[in-house]
Amino acid sequence: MTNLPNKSIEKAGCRSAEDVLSYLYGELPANEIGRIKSHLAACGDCASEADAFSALRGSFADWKREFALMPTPPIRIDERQTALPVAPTTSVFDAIRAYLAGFPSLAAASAAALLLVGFGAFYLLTLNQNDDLAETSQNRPKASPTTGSTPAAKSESVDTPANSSIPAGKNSEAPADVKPVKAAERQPKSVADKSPRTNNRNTNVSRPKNDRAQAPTLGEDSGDEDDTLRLADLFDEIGSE
Amino acid sequence: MLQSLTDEQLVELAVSKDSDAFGEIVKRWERKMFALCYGMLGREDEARDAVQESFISAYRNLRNFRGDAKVSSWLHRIAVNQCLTKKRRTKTRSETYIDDDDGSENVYFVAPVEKSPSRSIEQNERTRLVRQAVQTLPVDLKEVIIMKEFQEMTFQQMSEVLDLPLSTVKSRLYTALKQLRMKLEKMALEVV
Repeated sequence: MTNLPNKSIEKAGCRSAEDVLSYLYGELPANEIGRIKSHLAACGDCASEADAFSALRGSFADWKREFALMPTPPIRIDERQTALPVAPTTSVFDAIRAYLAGFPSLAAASAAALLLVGFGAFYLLTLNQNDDLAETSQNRPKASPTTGSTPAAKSESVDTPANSSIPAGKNSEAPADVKPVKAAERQPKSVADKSPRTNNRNTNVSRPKNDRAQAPTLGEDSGDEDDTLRLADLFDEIGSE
Repeated sequence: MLQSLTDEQLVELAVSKDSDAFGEIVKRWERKMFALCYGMLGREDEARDAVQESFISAYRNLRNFRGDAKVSSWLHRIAVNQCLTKKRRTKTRSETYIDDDDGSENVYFVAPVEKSPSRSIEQNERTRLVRQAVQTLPVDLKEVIIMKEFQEMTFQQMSEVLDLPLSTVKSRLYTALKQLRMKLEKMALEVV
């Protein structure tokens, strides 16, 4: 099997490809060089393959020369990049912050978007509250004698029964005739909400704020020591003088 | 001081906020990394970008470096991945890198003066075809050729960097050269 003609270098029996490559690249130990040389002299296939490889290597020469003339590019790692490993990210927020630090414009845009969303939400909330206040103030005088059972409200609530299922958030989009129905629906709620409070206040020992606001009638003697009493005394003194 | 340290010791220092240590790593490996990127991409400008991005990537991932692999192996893998990403990103075939005429033709005229113009043209054409053939090789074969020819590594160094047995490295290079030869023959080029 050894030194068979027309056999490639990797075939069994010939010198291994490893040795031939090591020889071609000058990495074969000195004591092995003689042996491989004699083999190449005896084996035509191995010799031709070795020649082909060295010719191929020679064709790299120009390419390598071209590369040798190229200067090594300067490696620049700026502070933003060097700061990353020094400050390891500990949480999700840190990671986001570190990521956004690389894109200042993106960070500014996201901050602006957050602000816009915040303002939008605030505006919608206040708009909703104003609507509710307007509705309750409109319905209050009508509702006061009969607590929300005005004929108009009744007729409208009968006309639009399906509207009772409209969610509260869609107030602004609902047609005008729907609003009184909602107001009528909400009014007992608000009254019911308030009445326990007033009851609680009455049962409570401390004085309610609303009573205090109505207090500055000079002659009224509530028995508590507050500013209104002192003011009355002052007016009395001025009057006497 | 830093010159006497091993790559692994330098990485340890770099992790502990010593920027000079990383600078030393860059100094040691920038040329070889540039050679690898140039061989893999076939274009100088692309190679410059790739080697820059590779070092940035290495610096960012210093903490993730585990001592079970060699620094050279780690850097090599980063650079190869960077080249592959770059190639994928540009979505152009590797042949287009070689075939274009933007300035790269000028560097062919570095042949010795004593050679005749016809000989230079012939050599230029041969070089162009060899480059083209190398670019069409599979990545694992291409990288061993580049490591051997451009980075001028020994088989032992290649074995360490690729984390492969010495015999595997040699047989891989053998396969690469054989395929390259076949490709060139297919191109009807009398290289051999």
